[in-house]
Amino acid sequence: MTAPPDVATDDAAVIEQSRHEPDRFAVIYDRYFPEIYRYVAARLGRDVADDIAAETFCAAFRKRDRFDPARGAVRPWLYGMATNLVGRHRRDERRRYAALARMAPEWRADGHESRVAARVAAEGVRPQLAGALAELSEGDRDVLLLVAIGGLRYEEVAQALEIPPGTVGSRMNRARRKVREALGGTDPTHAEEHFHG
Amino acid sequence: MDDMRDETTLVAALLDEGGPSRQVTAAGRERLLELARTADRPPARKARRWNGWLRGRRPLGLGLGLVAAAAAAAVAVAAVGSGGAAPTRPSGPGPREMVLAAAVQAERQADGRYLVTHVRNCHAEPVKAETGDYIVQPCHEIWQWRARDRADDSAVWTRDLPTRPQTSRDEALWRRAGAPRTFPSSQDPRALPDLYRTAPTKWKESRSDRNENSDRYVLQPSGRALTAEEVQNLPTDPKELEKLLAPRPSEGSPRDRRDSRLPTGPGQKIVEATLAVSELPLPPKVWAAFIRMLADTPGVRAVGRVADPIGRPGVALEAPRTAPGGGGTSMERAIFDPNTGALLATVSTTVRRGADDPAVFRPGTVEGYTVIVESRWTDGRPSRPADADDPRPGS
Repeated sequence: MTAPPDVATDDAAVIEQSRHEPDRFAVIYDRYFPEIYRYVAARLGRDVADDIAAETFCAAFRKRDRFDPARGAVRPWLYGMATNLVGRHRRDERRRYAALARMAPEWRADGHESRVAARVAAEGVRPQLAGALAELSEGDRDVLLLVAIGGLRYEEVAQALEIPPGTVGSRMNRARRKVREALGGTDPTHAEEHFHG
Repeated sequence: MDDMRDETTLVAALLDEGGPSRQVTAAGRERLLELARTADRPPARKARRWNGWLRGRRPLGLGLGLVAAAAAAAVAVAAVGSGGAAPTRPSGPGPREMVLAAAVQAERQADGRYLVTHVRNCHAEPVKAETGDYIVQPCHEIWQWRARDRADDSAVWTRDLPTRPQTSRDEALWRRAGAPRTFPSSQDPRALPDLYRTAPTKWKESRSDRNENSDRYVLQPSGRALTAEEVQNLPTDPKELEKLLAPRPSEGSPRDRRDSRLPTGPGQKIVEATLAVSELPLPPKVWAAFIRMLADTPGVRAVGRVADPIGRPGVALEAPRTAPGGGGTSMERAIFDPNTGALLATVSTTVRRGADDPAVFRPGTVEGYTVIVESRWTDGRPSRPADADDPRPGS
């Protein structure tokens, strides 16, 4: 069963079609599964993400007739759905940050991406960073990670979390300040130079 | 901007676990398609709005001064009727508000309060026939309950009503076509040749929606999420209420608004505002404010006494709404209960057909409607629709 290669390709139109042709929803899956997975995996780890990322699309499918283009685009809608599901796994998330704070870089389960994180670790900020994330309020952390991992713009975060854009801004400021404080003497700008260097 | 990026870059680098493996992607896709295969037959719900979203801009200059007797009457009646159970408040905070908030708080302790809503959605579906095209009207109902202040405690039931020819003229054409008992989807007749049926379905619980409620009530399209208490305490001042219901200006940048190709005209405001509150049992004073707010919108006019699509007497406001890109114009009507001010129904009727609309959509065609059959708070825990004949919920 593959989605027919026809007609409208606009996300909202695809969702609309999927109300009468459920298979069409696979188009949304193909477009967004990789990045939604990446977002969920960043928060809950890959094992849990296998299930939760897939469940995000099942949940979105079930709610497809409630998607309202007047409220925003499909992508933030999916991120909002994923964030809700992540919210049901707070314990897994806290555990992950605690583990990240403790782990030495080489303990990390393989990962083609672990070298990136290893660079961060090389900066010596990982325990502080993971600790700061663990201590953020859920709302602040949702905003920070939607921006940092999902790359959402503020107004998309607002749509995803169904909160005013102004609230997004203040949560983001607070989250960044806490992270910066947790980094202590480390100048993030400086760290970033190394990170990219 | 660089300054903006640094913490987020570090966080992203720390947490990044990479994308999905091919197997995980394939497994997730199969899981979704399995769900799609077993999905209930598609709901007719929202079809009207969908028609609407595809329509375009063409404001019509209807008189502003016609906001007349009916709305005023509705407002007056609503205001008089406000001695009911629901706590209301004067505009602006004060001691009274605090007392009332405390009362609501006390009430919450009693627990066991539920919201029950029953909504019917119908839309016009064009059917092609060699003996002459006609319109049938599929209708879908959703009955649901949710705990008032608790998440994860709710249920959703749905059913299809019989799909019938819309008017007597349509009925004659339907007979001439051999009185078929199934009708294709006009969107994709080949894939869905018998999507709509003259046979109704029984009430059936949507098990995947069981206990899916949050403890918030979302006002679309602004996306504001309110507690049940905040719903009861919505402003009774039309301007204040308007601010709460309006799509947040910053939410759609000019580019986003253009990309989403929303319909325009004062009727769009009727659609957006009624969508926001259509399933909420608001206190009469809030309904009064809601009616005033719409009635004060330039281009919206009152149309006096009408019956809603299921025959209940009401008073109505209406305004035109036009689709983007040379789309058609429809008249959007909101019908209110003259006694409580509560929204009974919204009805969308063709004024001028758009270039892409089927030829059978003549002016006056009812393109779709939503009827709020019921929306109320209740103390007893609901189980299933009253006329569901299966005694065991969900089976």
